[in-house]
Order: sequence, then structure tokens, then C-alpha cells
Amino acid sequence: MTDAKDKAPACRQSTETLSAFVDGDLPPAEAQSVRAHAAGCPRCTLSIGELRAVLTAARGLERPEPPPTLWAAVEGALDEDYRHPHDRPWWMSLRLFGTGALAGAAAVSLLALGLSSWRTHHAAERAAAATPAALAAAPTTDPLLEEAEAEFARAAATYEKSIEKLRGLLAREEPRWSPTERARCAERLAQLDEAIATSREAARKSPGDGVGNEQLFALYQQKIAFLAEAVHRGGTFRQSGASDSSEPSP
Amino acid sequence: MRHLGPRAVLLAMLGLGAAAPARAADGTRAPDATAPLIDRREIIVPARGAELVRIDNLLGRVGIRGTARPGEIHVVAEKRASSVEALGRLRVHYTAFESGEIQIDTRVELGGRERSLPLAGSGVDLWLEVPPDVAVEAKTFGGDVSASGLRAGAKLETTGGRIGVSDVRGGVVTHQLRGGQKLAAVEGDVDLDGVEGDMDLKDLGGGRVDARLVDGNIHAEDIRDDFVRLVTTTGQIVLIGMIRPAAHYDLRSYAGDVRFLPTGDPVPFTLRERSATPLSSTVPLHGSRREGDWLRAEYLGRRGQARPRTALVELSSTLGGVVIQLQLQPRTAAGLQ
Repeated sequence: MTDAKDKAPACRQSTETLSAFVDGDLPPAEAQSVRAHAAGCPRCTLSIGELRAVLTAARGLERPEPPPTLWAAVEGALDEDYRHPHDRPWWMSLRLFGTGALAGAAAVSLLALGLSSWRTHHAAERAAAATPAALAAAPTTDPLLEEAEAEFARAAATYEKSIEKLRGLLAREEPRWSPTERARCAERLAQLDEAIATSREAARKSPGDGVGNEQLFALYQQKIAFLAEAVHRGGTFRQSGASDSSEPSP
Repeated sequence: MRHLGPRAVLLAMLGLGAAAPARAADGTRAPDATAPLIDRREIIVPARGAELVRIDNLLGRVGIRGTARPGEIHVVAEKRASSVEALGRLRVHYTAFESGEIQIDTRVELGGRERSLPLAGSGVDLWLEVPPDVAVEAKTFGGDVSASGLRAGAKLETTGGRIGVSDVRGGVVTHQLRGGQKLAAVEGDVDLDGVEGDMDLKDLGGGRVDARLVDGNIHAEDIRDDFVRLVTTTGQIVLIGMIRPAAHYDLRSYAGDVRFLPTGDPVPFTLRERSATPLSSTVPLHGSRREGDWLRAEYLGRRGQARPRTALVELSSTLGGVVIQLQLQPRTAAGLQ
């Protein structure tokens, strides 16, 4: 570790730089430089302490109702934030949004107001970072969101259990099929598995995404229908040796 | 897909206004502090010209009865949650469209937005009385869904709730992951789909019954349709009732037994049967012959003469057995083995 006193420059840190440091906005190298400087500069240490105290106090304030336009503005920056997740300040994802989405949105609006004297030019960026993607990255602490995720997980487990059961039955039937039929079946299952994996990952990244989970469940249903059909059809193969139909033949 | 513009949002939200929610209690003791808070609202809304009522409630149960007067819908919304804050985030919306469709849906506020998501401990139950002549579509996630007294059919979908249908005219379509389905007194085509859970069908008449299940038993009794297809992968199938002339019965299980229990004086039928064990039958069959894995035989009727309108009975169990057992007295119940 470098001795800060050896390299400590003359105190020329602006409040804006210190504020960015407290917010976690500085690039790692610059943040390290400020940290090293502050270790040997009582004035900057005091300033950083004050800025942190403001942040802490802001968190303890009564939560104001976010303005109705906030969420629209926030959503608009979703893609940008998603593309640059590392640009998100550490405190935003780890602390504020760990306490819940609404609290996070409210706190962001409050911070945007409360810290404007120091960091007015960063306020909009800060609010823009309060996106669903940021929420997704934060731990799930909203009890209602947890309930929803538990319900989704329970349903997914039931689908997977049924699929597993059908897979077992299919394994019993497949040896009776021709290589072409087995290959066709395997190909279709691979397609479905790939689609399910993609959909599951998307749903995992976006907690509380009803549409995403609906898509995942629709794929599970497709797979179950395919497997059930394949299992029943196996008997038909045995009967006719060539028939590809599950329809009864009078 | 046609875009429907809302004519009017008659009731934007059955919200939690001034009324104080109450803790659930059994009426004899003081409310339990750990019991969920419950807020119950009732409202009657005009529904003149309504042709379809669509209910989308992933937050809880849905019960629909076709007992309302023409032109109005009676809605009871019961919200439950562990805190006033959570209760306040549950919403019910009612929207009327120019097309004659009425939509009632529930949402939960999360992250500043209202979303349609399933909930377990918290939730909203909806009880509706609708005019009997409107078609109904209802969807839940974990909550039961039931419909009765309808005269224009019903389409019901649930992931983890039970489905119950009784006294319905018109087509009935269901879709379910788990929970079981019970249908009784339905006059119309029936199309049932389920993954896990038993199906219990009784007193159905109309054109056709098509029930598909992956893991569960199907018990059907007094089915008066001309086409009856009951298919399950791992469960058993029991069908009890009269055989209709010229009707087609297709009962198939992969791993479970199939039991066909005709009542009364059966009409002649052609049997196609396939099973892992020899057929067990108390019905006198004639002309038995093999067609691959299938056994084909004829039942000629009590007088020993074929009648012109012969029914077709196909019974198949790949790994289980098939039983045909004549029931001289109509039965009201038959257990699954």
C-alpha cells in the first residue's frame, strides 16, 4: 500500500469531486487517489464525513411520494442502465434499492433534491439509474414481490416435475422407435430446452416479471404436451409399425 | 388482433378508501393480531349489452354465478394482506369496452407500477354475479376458479387452483397446471386440459368431451356426448354410464388402468382394446381377433342381434390393464383401484 503522506498533493479537491467520491461515481483509480489523499488531509476527511452524514440523514427522512412523472423518466433510461450496469453507483444498488422498489424510487427523488447543491448535474443520471434493471440487481426484499417469486418458483417446480416424469416414460418408449424418429424427437426437445433456458434466465433477471414468467410457462406447457404426445404415440408405433398418428383408427 | 378502445372505465379501482380493514376472526373470539387484514367491498355496476366478462385475477380466487339480473354485474372483492400498507397496494380494475366485453382484473403495486402477479399470503378474491347469458373467461394463478349457472359457456384457466363448473350451458374450456377439476351438469362441448390433479366429470351432455391429463385420474359418469375422449398419461380412467348409439369412446392411459363400466342395456358396440394384461370383461364379446397389439371384438346387444347404430369403444392402456364390466344397476360412484 502506498504511503498517502508521501504522495499527498496539496489540498485541491473540490466539493464536487468529494461528493462524487461519496456517491461512488468516480472511476476506481480516481477514487483510490481521493481515498489516499483524504487519509492525510483532515479537511477532506471532514468534508467526506459531512457528505456521508447528509446521505445517511436523507435516508432517515420521511419518504415523500415520488412525482408521477418519475417512473416514466426512470423507465426511459432502462436500456442505458442495463447496457452499463457498472456505471451504477455502488450505494444505489446495495443500499437504497435493497429496501424496496418504491422506497428506492422515493429515496432517489429525495436525493436528487437534497444533494442538488453539490451534484446538480448528476441528479438526473442518478434518478435514471433507478430502473427496473437496478431493482432486479438488488436483493428482493419487498414481501409482495417475494410472494410472487415464490409462486412462480412453485409453478415452475411443478412443471419440471411433470417433465421429469414424462422424460422417464419417454426413455422407456424410445428404444422401440426408429433412429429417425428418435432424432426428430431429440431435436425438438433440444429446441424446447434451449427456449426454456433462455426464457428462464430472462425471468430470473427480472423479478416480478409476469409476462416473462408467462412465456416460460407457455414453453413448459409446449414441452409437456410434446412429451405426453410422444409417450402415447409410442404405443401407436408399436401397433402399426409406421403410423405417425395418435388418432384412433376405427 | 383487434384493439379494443375502452368505452369508459366505469370503476377505475375498487380501492381501499376510508373503510378500515379488519383482522380475520371466527366470530367467537377477538381478532387474531397475526391474522391477515381483510377489506371487503361490494359494488353493482351496469353491464348493458355485455356479451363477455373476462376476469383476470392472479392474486386469488374467482367465483362466478349466473344469477344477476340482465344488465348488471355484482362484484364482491375481498382483499387480504398482513399490513395496511400491503393491503393498499392491491387493486381491482373494472373496464367496459365498446365491443361488449367487460374486463375485471386485479393488480399489485410494485416498484411504482401496477402489475398482474400471483401472490400467496396476500391477495384478492373476486366473487361475481353476472347475467346468465354472458360468456365468461376467468384466469387465476394459485386460486380456485368456479363457475355456475351460466348459459353461454365458460373458459377457465388456472395454474395452481382447483376448477369447478356446474350447471352450465354452452362450451366449457379449461386449462390447468395442477389442482384438479370437477365438472357437473354441463350441456355443451367440453374441452379440458390439465397436467396434475384428478378430473371428476358427471352429468355432461352436448357434442363432445375431450379431456387430457398428464398425471392424474379421470373419473367420468353419465356422459351423454357422442364423442368422448379421456386421455391420461400416468393415471387411471373410469367411465360409468350408458353407451349411446353411434357414439365414439376413446379412453387411453399410458401407465394406468382403464375401466369401462356401461350401465343399463348397452347398445351394440365395436371394441378395440389394447393393454399390457389380458382384457377383463363381463360383457359377452364376439368375433375377437388381433390387429397388431389391438384386440378387436363386437358386442351384439342383449338379443344377440347387431343394431344399425353401433358404437365404437376404444380402450387402451400401454402398461396397465383394461376392464369392461357391465353395471346392471346404475351406479352413483365407483372407486378407482
